[in-house]
Amino acid sequence: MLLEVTNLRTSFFLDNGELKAVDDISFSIEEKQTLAIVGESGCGKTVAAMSILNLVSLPGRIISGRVNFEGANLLELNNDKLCDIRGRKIGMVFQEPASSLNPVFTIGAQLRETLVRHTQLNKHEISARAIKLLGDMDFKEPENWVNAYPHQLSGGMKQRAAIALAMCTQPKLLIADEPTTALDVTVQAEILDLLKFLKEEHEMAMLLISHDLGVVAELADRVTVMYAGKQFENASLEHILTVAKHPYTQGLLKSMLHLDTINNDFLEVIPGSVPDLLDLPKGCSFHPRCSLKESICQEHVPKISLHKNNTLCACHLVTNQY
Amino acid sequence: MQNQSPLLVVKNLKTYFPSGKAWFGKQNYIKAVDGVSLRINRNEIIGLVGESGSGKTTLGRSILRLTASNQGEIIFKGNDILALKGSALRAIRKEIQLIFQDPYASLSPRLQIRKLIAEPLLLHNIVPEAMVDQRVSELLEEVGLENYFKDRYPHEMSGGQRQRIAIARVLALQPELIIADEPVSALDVSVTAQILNLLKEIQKKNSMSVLFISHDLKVIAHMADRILVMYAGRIIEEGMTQDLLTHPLHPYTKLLIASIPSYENRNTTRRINQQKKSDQQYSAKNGCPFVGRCAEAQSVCKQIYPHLKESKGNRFVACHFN
Repeated sequence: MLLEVTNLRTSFFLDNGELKAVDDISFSIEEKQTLAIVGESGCGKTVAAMSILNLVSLPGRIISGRVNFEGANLLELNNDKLCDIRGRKIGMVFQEPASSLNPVFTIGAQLRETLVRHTQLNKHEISARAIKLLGDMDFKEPENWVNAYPHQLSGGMKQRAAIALAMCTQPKLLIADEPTTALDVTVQAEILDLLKFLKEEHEMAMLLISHDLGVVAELADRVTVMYAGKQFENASLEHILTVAKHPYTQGLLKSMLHLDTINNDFLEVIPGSVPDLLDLPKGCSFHPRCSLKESICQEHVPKISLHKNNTLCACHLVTNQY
Repeated sequence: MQNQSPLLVVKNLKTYFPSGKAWFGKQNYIKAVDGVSLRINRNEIIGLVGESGSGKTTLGRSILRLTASNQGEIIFKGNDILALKGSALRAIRKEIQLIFQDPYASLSPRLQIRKLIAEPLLLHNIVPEAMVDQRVSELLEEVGLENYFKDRYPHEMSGGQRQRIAIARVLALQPELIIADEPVSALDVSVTAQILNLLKEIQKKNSMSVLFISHDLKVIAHMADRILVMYAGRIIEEGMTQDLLTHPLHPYTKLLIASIPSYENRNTTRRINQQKKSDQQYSAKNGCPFVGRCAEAQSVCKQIYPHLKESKGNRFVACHFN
């Protein structure tokens, strides 16, 4: 197992209470596997990813849990050792490419900085490597683009440059937080193609964070569904797409649009909206929106439990026989 | 039988924005809308799809004269909107209403919901003052919100609820045409489905026409009766939804459809790069604006602009080879 997250809890301590952004989450990623965390805004998917790299800042705090990466618990490493892993073994790509690039340095300078920090190459090798990296990211004439500043690049090129930065050291794991959300459809397709290619080429594992089930269907091998800080379901992609068990996952799938929903039908929807994390309903946090709820759902928080085919599900109504 | 004349006809509309000028030189323009003609029938939802910068928002705003156009005609129920002034223009604006993308920006943060919805009612003298409060309640009910929201402020509501308020404000005027500019782009998956259903429901109930603008072909496919594809300020393809999506004619429309992430696309990589494409896209001065990205381009495409012309079966396409 490459990455193993167990019982992770991260809270934000605000004036009006403790906001449990990530509330007891466990998942693991095998080598070369892509796991997607799916959920709506505010469900804690980004905080979960940040917690893995121990990047949560005040008023947020990781309360408990383990993040085992290649045998070491990242939450217990000192800062020096952690910095060696961040960027070298775990790369990260964010939603907004403009914010992960420094506007006052050229793309080449930023790539070289990372290469100097994480490799033993000499100056010439580093320059050549920077150009090659851009070439690998489908930049045409990369020798010209290394000297470009971020503002001279289009949105898609910026994201490709940001991916180049993350790929500098050939990480074992790439964390991609909504990597295509800010991009146009055709550019999104380019980035998805690039990510698929890099995964194959470098035998890299990936933690994908997305709200878009289409993107997830294209990239992920395994999916974990989050809602209001909790993990609701964790199963293989095929399982999620065809026989999802949790009512929330089912609802998400039904409200997903396809090109062949060309008709005048109404979509099946999940009523209501995501609850306030500071004022969660009693029992299952999803029960006010759930059409299947029973009295137990309003009283007790369902525990996540293992079902057939290595599927995890947190719902009182999903039993082992099912 | 309904009046069969179209509700809105736009003829050869051009909206240019000045962008710098050489010394003693010619004024340069960004041609945001460059010779667009379209027709919206009564009781019809038209989908306008295009990527960022294609001019779709400018086209929507130009129809309402929120952005001044340089040339063309906009004929709404027989009157040319571009020739109207003062009270006549105000009267038209009552009949064409706009829903914006960002429900956080389009509602005044200082007004309670009751005042926000009452505002259009009072401004256009829709109901006598004594009846306003009752009408506000009816409108809230129509958009699926409880009566107690009257006393709330926009910041106390979620994105989906705010978009419902924006829709209630539009409904207050009983317009004949709604221009919905990316109304669900800022919303979560489960909420998007709710708002799309609501828009469909009110369109059917009130027999209104909708110009639905979106970058997301899946949303357009679900909503629209007829689709217009916009690229670089022009309409490049038009057709009935099912036709256009199952048999796209223009290479750009084909690209848009192929770009939608899905499970089926999991094993297709490099689909975009098979096309000749450079980072600095070739833009033809007189030729087709898509030539730099087009897989099917020939030399004629660089020289002659393809005008939108009728193709088989009530389809329109602007391509030399289709």
